[in-house]
Amino acid sequence: MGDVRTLEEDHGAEEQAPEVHDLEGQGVDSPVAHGHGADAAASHGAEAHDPLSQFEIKTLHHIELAGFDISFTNSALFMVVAITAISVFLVGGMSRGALIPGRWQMTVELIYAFMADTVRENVGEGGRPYFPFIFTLFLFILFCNSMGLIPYTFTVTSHIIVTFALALVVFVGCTVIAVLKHGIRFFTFFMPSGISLWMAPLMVPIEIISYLVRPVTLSLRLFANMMAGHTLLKVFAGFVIALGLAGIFPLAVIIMLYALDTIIALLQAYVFAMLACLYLHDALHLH
Amino acid sequence: MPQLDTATFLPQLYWLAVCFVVLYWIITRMALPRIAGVLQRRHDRIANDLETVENLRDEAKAVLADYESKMEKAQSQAQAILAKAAEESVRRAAKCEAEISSRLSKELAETEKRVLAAKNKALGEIDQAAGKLAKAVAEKLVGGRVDGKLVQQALELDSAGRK
Repeated sequence: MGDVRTLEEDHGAEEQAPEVHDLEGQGVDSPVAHGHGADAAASHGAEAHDPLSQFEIKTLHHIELAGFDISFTNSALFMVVAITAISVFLVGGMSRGALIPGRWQMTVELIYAFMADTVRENVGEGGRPYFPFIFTLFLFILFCNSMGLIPYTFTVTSHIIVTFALALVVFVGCTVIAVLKHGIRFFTFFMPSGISLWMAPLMVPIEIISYLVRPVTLSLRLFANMMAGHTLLKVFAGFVIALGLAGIFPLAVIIMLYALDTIIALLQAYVFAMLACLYLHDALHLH
Repeated sequence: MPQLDTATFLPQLYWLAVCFVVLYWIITRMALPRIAGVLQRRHDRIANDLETVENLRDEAKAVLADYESKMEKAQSQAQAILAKAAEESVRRAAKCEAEISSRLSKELAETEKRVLAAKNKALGEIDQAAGKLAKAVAEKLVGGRVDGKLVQQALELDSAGRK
């Protein structure tokens, strides 16, 4: 609980008290340095320049359910904002349901057609029932990624636990689908066809490891891309302040990095959705 | 690194699950049916329009075929009329020609007959005159009367010898 801070405390106190709900600590000029930010937390200003401080989870409203902490945090806030934005985007775009679409409706239809094509091409036969899930997954990651590029927002997908949870849902889902569809034959997936039998002791463990490592690579790819991009932006932003007039050069770098991060935000959402499609294809067709 | 703070995992996972399920519900219940409905309606409309176009094209084709057949009929009719007219004119020309030629030949024959009669008459007169002359010449030479019959015989012999 030590690292979870309330927003009020963030505004109200220059120094962070180690206990979240210790209201006595608020406003007191305590020299106790805060958890992980110990090196940079000498003053509030210095902490704001810490490139990693943007990833901190701050509790906005403390909620506890049956002894479990399910507080509404800044991460939760931006998830809610993201799903609200997606719903408004989709439902609002299709509200007129015009035969000849306007720009907004056209955008919705293009994204729909794009994902439908991706599912059709990568999952192949029998992929239709899973389209809503892939579509939801893609839009959720897309909106979380791209909203995180707006200054002062929080990037939900820059947390490994979020991307890992999404990847695990895909992995477990695909495995369950494969076992339900193919039964015991599912395990032939780990024996590549056209390989002589004496190679099996080598190939089967490799195949099993490469299968099990899928959720890790899937989640790490998204998480690392998001975190690296945002950290780099913050590092160069620090240079802009530090260099004064010469800060124009890191500013130029930031503009280019921002363009790159925009592409990455869109691309990683697509990559995540497409890999989910490919895993689904493996689950449905084995090879 | 704030990402490794395990205390934040549970609230994140909880809200991720809640948000994802809510979003999935909204997308499957509200967004996708609308999008699919609009796309289906557009597809139907386009198919319908294509069908209409097909029908109209068939109709246009029928009209064109009708026009062409009528045109062909009219042309053949015109051809027939022309042929008839040509035949008629040829027939009339032939009739006229025949009439003219028959008249001409009749007139020619008449003229020939007249010319022949005139010639015969002239020849008879010449023979008579020649007989008289010959009788007179012979009487003068002989100094007496000459039988007219002998003179006539001699003249006929002579004219036969000349022929």
